[in-house]
Amino acid sequence: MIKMKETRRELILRTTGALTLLGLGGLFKADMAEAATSVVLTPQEEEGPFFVDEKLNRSDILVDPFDNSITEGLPLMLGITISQSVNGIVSPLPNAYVDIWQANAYGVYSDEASQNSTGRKYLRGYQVTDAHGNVHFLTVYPGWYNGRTVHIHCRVRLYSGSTATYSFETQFFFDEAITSQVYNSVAPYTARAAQRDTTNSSDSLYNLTDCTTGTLSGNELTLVLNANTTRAVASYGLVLDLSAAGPDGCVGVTDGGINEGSTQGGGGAPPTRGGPPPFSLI
Amino acid sequence: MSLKASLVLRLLAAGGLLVPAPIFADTISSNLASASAGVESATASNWLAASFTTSSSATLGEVILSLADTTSRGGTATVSVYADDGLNEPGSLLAALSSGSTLQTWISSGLSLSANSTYWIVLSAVTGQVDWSYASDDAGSGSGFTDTWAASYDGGSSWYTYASLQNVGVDPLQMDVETSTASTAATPEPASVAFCLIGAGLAAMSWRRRTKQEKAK
Repeated sequence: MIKMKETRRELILRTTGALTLLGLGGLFKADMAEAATSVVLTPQEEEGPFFVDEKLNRSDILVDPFDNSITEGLPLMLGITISQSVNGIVSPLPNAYVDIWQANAYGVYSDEASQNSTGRKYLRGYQVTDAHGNVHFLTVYPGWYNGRTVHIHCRVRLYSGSTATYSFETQFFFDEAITSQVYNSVAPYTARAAQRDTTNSSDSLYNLTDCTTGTLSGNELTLVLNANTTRAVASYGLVLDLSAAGPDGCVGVTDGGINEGSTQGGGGAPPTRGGPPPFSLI
Repeated sequence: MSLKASLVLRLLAAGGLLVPAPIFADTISSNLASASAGVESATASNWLAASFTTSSSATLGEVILSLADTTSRGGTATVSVYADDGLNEPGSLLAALSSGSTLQTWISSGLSLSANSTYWIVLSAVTGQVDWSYASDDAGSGSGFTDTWAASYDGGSSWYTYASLQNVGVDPLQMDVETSTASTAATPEPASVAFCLIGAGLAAMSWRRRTKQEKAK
């Protein structure tokens, strides 16, 4: 007990006391970051056919600007942290453009001619990471569609001036037990629950092996997730290697993150934080 | 009571050594040893929270938060304890903590914590802005440490949680959570020890002077 008391006082003297006397600004150490003995880099997953650069800078992606309707479904509060790993040192990655896009509760993506949703823009948007590397989105629990397990797409881009320098695409997966509970107890998911044809165990992308770690990429990309019948709360921390030459989290292929990604989109300058979305894709 | 004894007792009392005080018995969770990498800011609408868990029932003693100088930031902090609502986010309010002797210290008035539960320390600012430091890593000590934190952008109505399956890269908010056991045995603070030493010195000087005076007679 005495030792604990001493430890607590030591901590106070070393940290809190210093904060009081010096102010937090004096303690900021930009070069101080997280040294991890074995950093698991976030595996890459394919972008898929449904990415459309809608350039919607927004946290709430429930609203469809097409008609201001609110997307139906179980609200999902999604917090994402973007970090970079440099020689095994992990630190927040600020000013990264993070896009997410997903199917609605009926398994339909917006703005897809093949799905009769051209012009709709629900469940798409991007945010820019803050100094702590964080963004957040208000969305819904995704619905399923044929041949795929439940997932949300994520894309991380960096810019240097008007040039996109980095693009990384992956997908977040959902715990099967929670998905089953949601699909069997929350409308409108319940109406289609029985027809679902693909789960995590049978999804081709979920079961790809991360060539860096040798484990299933889907396991590494599963959200920290909790849900009830009124709301779901999820989070994920991406750890990226921005170096073209360095190893990155990968699925089957080496992923340096540079000069890869979508061929969609136009040219132009990237936005300032809070401004219009990126115009330049790589 | 002799003059000497009275003097010593008065000095000890002045030093706070005889004042009953709680013992902070155990560290449930702490990541104050980590370096600060920046701050998140709390306002009246932007709330911040950090979680800890319990493995056994306990009484909450004090919580130390790495808060910035709120005076210079124009903020007045409010710190409360919330239960987890089962979604890994703050749920119902359990108790407000009282401001302690320092800006960073917050005292519980005996809040009982259940075993195997998750709790949240929630910070908001009644006025202005209060900055809460986040760590440069996900390391921490204590059986109840988690690297999970949360932010609300609508005054606590909804929360976004930040956590990682890999337990890396989250860089949680910095705090220290201590249990408490009721006790009248006080642990002297450094200032109290100084008072005690000064008092003992004065008593010794007084005794020596009186001894010399008696010998001179």
